[in-house]
Amino acid sequence: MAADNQQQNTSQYTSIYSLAVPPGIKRDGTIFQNDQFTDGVWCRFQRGEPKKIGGYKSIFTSLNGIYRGLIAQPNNGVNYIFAGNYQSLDVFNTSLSFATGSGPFSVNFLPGSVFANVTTYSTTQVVVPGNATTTFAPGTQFIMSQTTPTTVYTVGSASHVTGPPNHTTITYTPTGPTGPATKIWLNDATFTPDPENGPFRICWQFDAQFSPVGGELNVFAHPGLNLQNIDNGVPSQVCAGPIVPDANNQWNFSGLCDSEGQNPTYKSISVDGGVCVLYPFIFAYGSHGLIANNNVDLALNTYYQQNFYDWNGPLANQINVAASKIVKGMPTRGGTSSPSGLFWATDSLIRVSFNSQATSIYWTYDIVSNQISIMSSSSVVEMDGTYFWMGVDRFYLYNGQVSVLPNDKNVNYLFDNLNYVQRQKVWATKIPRYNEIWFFYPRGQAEECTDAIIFNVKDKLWYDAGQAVGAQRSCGYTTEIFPTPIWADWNYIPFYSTLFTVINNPASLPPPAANQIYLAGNQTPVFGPGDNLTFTTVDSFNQTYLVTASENIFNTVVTPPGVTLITVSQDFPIAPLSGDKVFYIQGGFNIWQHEFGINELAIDGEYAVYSSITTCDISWLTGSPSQNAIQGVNRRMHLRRVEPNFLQTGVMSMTILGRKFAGGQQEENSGPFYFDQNTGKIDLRVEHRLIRLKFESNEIDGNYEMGRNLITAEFGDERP
Amino acid sequence: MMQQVFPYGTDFMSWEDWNGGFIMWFGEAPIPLSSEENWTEAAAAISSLPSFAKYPLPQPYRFETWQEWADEVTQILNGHTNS
Repeated sequence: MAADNQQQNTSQYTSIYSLAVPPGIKRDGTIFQNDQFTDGVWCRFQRGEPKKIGGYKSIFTSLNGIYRGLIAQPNNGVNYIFAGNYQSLDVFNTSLSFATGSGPFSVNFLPGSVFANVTTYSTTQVVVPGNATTTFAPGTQFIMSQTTPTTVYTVGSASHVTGPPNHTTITYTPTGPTGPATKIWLNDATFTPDPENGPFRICWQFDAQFSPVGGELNVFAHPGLNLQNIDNGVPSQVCAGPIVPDANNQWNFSGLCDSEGQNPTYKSISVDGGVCVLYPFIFAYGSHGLIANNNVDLALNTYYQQNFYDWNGPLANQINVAASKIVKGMPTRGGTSSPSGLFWATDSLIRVSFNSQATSIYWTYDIVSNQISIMSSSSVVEMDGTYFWMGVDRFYLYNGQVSVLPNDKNVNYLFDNLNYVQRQKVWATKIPRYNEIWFFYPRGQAEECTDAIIFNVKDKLWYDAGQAVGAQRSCGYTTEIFPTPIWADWNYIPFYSTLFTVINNPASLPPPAANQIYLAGNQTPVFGPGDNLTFTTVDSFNQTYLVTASENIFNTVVTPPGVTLITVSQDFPIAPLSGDKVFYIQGGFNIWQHEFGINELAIDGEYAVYSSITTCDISWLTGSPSQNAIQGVNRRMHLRRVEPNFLQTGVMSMTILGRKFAGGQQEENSGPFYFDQNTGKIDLRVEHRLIRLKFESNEIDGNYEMGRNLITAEFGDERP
Repeated sequence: MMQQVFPYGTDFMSWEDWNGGFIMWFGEAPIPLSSEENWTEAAAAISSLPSFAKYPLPQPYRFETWQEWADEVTQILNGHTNS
């Protein structure tokens, strides 16, 4: 083979190059054409430099199910976290600065989807305002108290008088209490959990609003039945309740309904979309472009007359503004005294504005675009007044007008591999400190989110989480008063105690109830109220039982240490038998405080968080380690020395990924070469035609931010 | 002078490269250079060097491959890493 004269060029031996790779991780296109980083795991870019993403700490665990919606709301010095799963709405509380607190506490959904205020009461009939004949038709069952146990009454007749006074007289059986009732409720449930074995359909939406009536902050929760189908048309009721618990430390939520105001319709506020607040109005939305809001009396120029249960007054409205389903609503900037919001239909973006100066038509609905798409109801993020969301095949932004959010880095990587069957599990959040918007999505055949696409708003960069374990999250909330993000994990990781065995009741003690078991000895230190037990170590979160009482019993017959009687919150489906195995169980679904340190702090220990970043191809073919060039030299690159320059803790490694040709993926790797903060240089003898450098950190307390790495390289062989 | 990590891992490296890297890194010690088929001899010589007596480094005979021995040597020199 004829030799060229490249190796006669002695200047090559004195040349040193600084590694210069533009920021961002480019997944689309070929590796060879790429001039940015080609791979990365749990690595972000700050000031254009790769930096390991922060660690995370388990702050709570729950056995109740995968969380599908979460809101963190401060109130009077406490950070309340409401998170919904397939069977319950759970509350956790922390301080405003530190993630120490307690939970989960399940919200009690009070019965009665619709109520009516009683104006006149007797033991056989009640009178309620307006026309309630449809809701309280003959044969309908109702209750006079939401607390259990309660008596169920049946409507005998309901007659409406247009009046004045405009009211409905309802007769009922059996005879009511002598004390007057002030309200009656339909005898039904406001919230229906998904079946224990699925299908799991519930996807929660939340918002919060202060209610001057009662003087307390309220949380609105909508358990939409759309987790498996964004276009599901089955409505569910919007529920609301105080953010603080009652005197018994119990959170109680009721269903929203139109039961007050001038002309109550006595209908529940049930929609298949969701709920949001455009202060001071509450909006519910759903199929066929439905947007509805409650009435707020502005006459006093205060919001004192604001009423969550008045959806019929002059400022209330209900309209269908699109053919398709509204799946998400968020407040946006309006004028003075003009609450405004954006509503995403599956094919349209609608702007809703309130005109306080109007005399009849207070609400305007502008179709901003009727040619958009949205991947999921949780895929919208607002940052700095601009709204970003993932469509079904591209990214959008709205900053006064809808436009595409350009992405030439990973749009094919995302949309070619997203599991569309699980599209409603896509969710988005932001990390303001790093100007990042994270779009979590299930990749490949995954049924839960396994990766995240990240957009850096400030630097207009795209990168991704590289399918890191830390991206396996189902929902979360961004930083507001609490300084770090809170994300929920979908992995079920239980921990079991040693084996305990059910025993029969001793002769001197009564048989256990349907929700009780006896254990030998004093097991109260293990099984206390608030703990959970299970009869199986097969990982199934819906076979656990919450301990409500645990009592060590002994007497003259049952001598110390006696036996332990454990009571759980629900009856066992099959009565446990003597000899059955019982385990104390903890763990389950983690709630993580992210951007906390640099390790994974799980309940069973501290673990390293793996992170890596891989450069683009470096070769003489396309220039040098410092820059690309149109004309290259057909020589292998011989690396003699690398001078790593990282702001780092712990030991990192560098692996050299070599290839022979632009096409073909076969790699001949070299290394790894270890280095730490004190390493000045790594001498090596590695030669490839195309070279990528992969930097990794994978030890406890390991962290890095890339600086300016120096490479001593010279011309190698001509052969590939 | 602060202790620096020994930089050469074994995952994607030949014995000759690792042996050469060891020689470069500990240049003042009389470390033999060998082919892969004779790696145990070189490893035994390295393990017996007074320079490494403070660790000490393991003898190679209980290891089936040079990578296993070199990985343990690297861990001893650097402390444990998960990489």
